[in-house]
Amino acid sequence: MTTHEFDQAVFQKCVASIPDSALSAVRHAAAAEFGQSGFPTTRHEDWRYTNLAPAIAIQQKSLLERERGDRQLNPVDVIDIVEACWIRFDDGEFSFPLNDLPPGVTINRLADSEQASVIDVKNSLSQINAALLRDALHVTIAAGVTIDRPIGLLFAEHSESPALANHARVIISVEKDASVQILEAQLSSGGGDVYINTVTQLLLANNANVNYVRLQDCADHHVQTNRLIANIGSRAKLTHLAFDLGAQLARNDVEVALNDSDASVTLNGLYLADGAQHIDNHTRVDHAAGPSFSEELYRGILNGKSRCVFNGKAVVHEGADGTDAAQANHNLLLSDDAEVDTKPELEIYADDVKCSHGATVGQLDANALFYLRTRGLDEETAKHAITKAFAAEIVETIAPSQIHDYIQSRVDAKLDQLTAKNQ
Amino acid sequence: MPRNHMLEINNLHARIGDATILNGVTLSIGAGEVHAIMGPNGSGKSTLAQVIAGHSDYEVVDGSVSFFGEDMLQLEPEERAQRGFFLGFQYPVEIAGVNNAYLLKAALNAKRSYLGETEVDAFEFLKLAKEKMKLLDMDPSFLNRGVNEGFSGGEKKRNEILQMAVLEPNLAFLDETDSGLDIDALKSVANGVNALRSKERAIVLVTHYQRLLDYIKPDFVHVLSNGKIVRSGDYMLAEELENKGYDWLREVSTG
Repeated sequence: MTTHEFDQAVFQKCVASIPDSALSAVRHAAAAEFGQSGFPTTRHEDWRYTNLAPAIAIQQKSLLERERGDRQLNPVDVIDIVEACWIRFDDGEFSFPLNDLPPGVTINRLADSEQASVIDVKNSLSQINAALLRDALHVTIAAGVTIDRPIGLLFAEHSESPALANHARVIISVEKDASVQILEAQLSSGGGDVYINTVTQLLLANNANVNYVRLQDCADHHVQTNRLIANIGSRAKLTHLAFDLGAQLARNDVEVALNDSDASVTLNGLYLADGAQHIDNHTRVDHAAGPSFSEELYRGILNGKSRCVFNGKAVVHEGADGTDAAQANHNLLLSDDAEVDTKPELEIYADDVKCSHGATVGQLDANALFYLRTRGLDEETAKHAITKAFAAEIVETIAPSQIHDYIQSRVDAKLDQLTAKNQ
Repeated sequence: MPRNHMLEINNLHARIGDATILNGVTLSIGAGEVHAIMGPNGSGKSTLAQVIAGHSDYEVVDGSVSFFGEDMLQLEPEERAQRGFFLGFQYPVEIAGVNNAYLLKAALNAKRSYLGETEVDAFEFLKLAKEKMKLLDMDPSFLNRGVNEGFSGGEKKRNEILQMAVLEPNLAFLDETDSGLDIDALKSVANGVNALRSKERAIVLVTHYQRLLDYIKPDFVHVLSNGKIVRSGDYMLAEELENKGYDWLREVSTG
């Protein structure tokens, strides 16, 4: 399917049917732009390996069938396991503990504020997201505050409708000298076809510190696209850890701008895919000022006929001298039918920079596997141990915490599936 | 009827790719015995150990191996281990990120669970592991390191013997356990092996040199050449080999 099969007229009618709010101007402008651009196709260089046809099909159906059936919320384990200030998006409808926010945290609804212009509409998925928003949240962490309890962002889909597309937008401003830990969990259950398109905008003021863990473990018939746009100020630091375990099709775009001297970012990711899963991670770091620092390590384990894409780009702009940028992507293929396309990229327009990048694709070490089996571990257990060690390089970058243990348990469950004999 | 042996290797032929390495090995090993299999490089010593452990690169083309009366060649490598077979590797594999303690405990519990025994918990395991490490002059910090990860040659060999000590196998093949060891390491490895000698257990030392046999005295010595056992004897044979080398036996095998 290509973009022309998406019915723009139906889309524009839906946009028009959404009640007016402070978001209206932004929404209509975004809708007009999306009318021009449409969904990206594999003819776009950044989308060469990822065909959004399943997302487009669900979006289309969802626009035609606006009636939603009765909705029931399925239990979501992370709420009980990780103590956090949970902001929930259930099938796109948000709720948060207004009376129980940690001191220093405020949440505004953009539909009734004057801040709608902060909504980013730079690419087509952000445009359709903005066009269909009924509301969006703006979370602010006050200057100088260190938030002890993590902020949780839960995107949970429960839908039994034949097709449902949800677009959610969160803007998080971390003011100067503030520090916060964020866990984003994108989880889904329910029998219906779901397409989730989330956009998160992160603004780190000078000397702010954000530790962001993102888990995507959607049901294996669901489609998700996600875009994170982060702007990092002077001496501010973002650590972003992304875990992609689920979904039929998942595409993540992480865009980080290091706007001032001594801004730094760490991007780590782990993707585990089997069956016919398709997981695509695109990251881009712009070193707009120097010295600034980025380090990136993504690891993937693939089985079945799964396909994964890694594209990590670091751009060192003119004048960003003293920049240090390192990227690496390592992959373990457990099956002959799995495929990974990896491309670390560097663009350098400054002098005096230290940059490195590398990528590897390998198989399970047969000698290691045999060694473990001669000690009495069965093949599945031995494979699990070796793949877990490979994944641990990423999992263990989370500090000991409930978040760490939760992610570990999800990763373990997925590794069990990946190393099971019938694969 | 011959006495009931723990391991019976009969006319074993094996190859890797197109190269035939074992040309009819016949060998019986009984409980309580220590055997040494000696021979020049390329004679098939390590292949024999790997075939008995179940390495899938080797294809058995003829012959049989029975372990406590069971057809060993039909078993997966882990099933052989769970039934009490242990291979001490000539080149222990480094497995980054897999914890030594994890492996030891998982290996021990795999065997216990096969035998219908309850699994050991973390506390019991630690007590056992520390006790065995003391025997081998190993620092308990080794438990928290990756399996053989960054270990020196001597540390790897000690680690093999530690695994053997924890698993208490019925039959252990130790492949070139003495290679790359300085004299102190050799002594502590030998102490570890000697501590495991018992009338229920059999140990096979696969070695090129007689040096190890000064510390672990075998009951039987066999010489492997061109994939066949060309001579068997007692400890005196090892001394003879030390003096005369292997050439005089090579003549026998080809002549």
